[in-house]
Amino acid sequence: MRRKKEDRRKELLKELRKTPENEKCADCQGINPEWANLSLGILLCIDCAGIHRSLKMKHKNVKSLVYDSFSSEDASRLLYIGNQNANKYWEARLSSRFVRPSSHSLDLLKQFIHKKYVIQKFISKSKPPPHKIFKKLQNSQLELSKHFLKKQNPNKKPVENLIQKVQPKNEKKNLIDFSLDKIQSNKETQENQEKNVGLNHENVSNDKVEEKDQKVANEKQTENEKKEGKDENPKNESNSILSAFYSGFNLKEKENENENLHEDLKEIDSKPVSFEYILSLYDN
Amino acid sequence: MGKAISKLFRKMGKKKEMRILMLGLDAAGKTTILYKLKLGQSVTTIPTVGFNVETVQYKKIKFNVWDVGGQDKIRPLWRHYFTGTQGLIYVIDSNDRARIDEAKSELHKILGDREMSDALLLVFANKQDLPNVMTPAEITEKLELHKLRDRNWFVQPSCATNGEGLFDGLNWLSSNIKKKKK
Repeated sequence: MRRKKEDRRKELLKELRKTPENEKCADCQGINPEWANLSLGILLCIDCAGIHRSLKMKHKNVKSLVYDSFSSEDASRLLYIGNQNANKYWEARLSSRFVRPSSHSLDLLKQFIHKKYVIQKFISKSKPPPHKIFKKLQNSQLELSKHFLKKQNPNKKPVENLIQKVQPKNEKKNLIDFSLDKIQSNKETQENQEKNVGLNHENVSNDKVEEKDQKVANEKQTENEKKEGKDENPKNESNSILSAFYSGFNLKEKENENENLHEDLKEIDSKPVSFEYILSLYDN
Repeated sequence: MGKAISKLFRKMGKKKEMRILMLGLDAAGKTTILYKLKLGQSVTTIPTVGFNVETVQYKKIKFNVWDVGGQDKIRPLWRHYFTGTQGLIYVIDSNDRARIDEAKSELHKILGDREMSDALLLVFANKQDLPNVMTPAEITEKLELHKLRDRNWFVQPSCATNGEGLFDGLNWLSSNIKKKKK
């Protein structure tokens, strides 16, 4: 049992290290960070970890990636956010010419970290903080995981079948309705987010939408009509969260749409798979 | 005769020693307490991987304080430090309500060890400077200290960064070690 856990930790580290930014400390850029601020989802060296522990801030669940154990939630937060995405927010307004204090000058480093996280001097003003996005994303986790389950294991029973099996349970059905709804409303209203729509749509459309339309469309429509009045706002909210997540984290500048779409698909592909992968590892 | 007198003087002048083991969950403030006691100043610590040991002089007693890292995976190593321990300082982060149960079970694991059966138990309810923290009474209850049998224990509120309560704790240790010897 112990050994198995050990393996999981190694897997997680391996997975994290695939992103080059995670090979350096989020604050001082020291190499091979083996500590993490789990609430913020970033990797740190031991010196910065010490400073994070001493800060008077809310988010300071500092753990070792080697000497501590953590939950699947923490693992997935790390995988989702990581140094790259976190610094896009926390250091958005940090000059590129800024010379980072190293761990040799602890006082300077402490000041810098204090400015960065407590005073929040360099944060992006347009994006929401990544850990908050993650939290909101978690709420729609079930939906997402279903969405990606199919992607990860095409050999497994498609989501559609699962849904039909559990059809008596209204909850699950509604969740899928939800995502379909999103796609449709997106299409109609928000052209800017065409990409996200494209993403969702492409993934879902191939086999999902058609079948669905045929088989369950009637039921759903009536249900949707009932729901629409009540649920419109939450829908829009979670929709915007999702798109914020994708656009904020993974999508680069929207210039050449088609090319970018392709790239972004790749990026998004990689993350949820690892997320699912880790979830499956931890929740067995 | 002269020899006897000099022996007596030597005995009087000889400082007592006390071996103290300081344990607790990670980020409870163990290392900060240790260096506040030793240096009298608050230092920024890094997480302890392994241990720190310092001797602290207080009221003619030489406290050998062992501070061992509290990370999850290195807690099983604590027992290697048990032998010869006269006093256990168990540090609690009074602000961390989420992990007080974890702290309780770790504490009872330690106290269940045969090597620790004679050790005094001093609990530092640390980080009392923060708002809305658990009170010493609340911690006593949550750690189920009243259930302990044959154990001399005491809960001392403390704040490692400004030093409040730390020497009061040592004071309790020193006076209770004397009682035991009588």
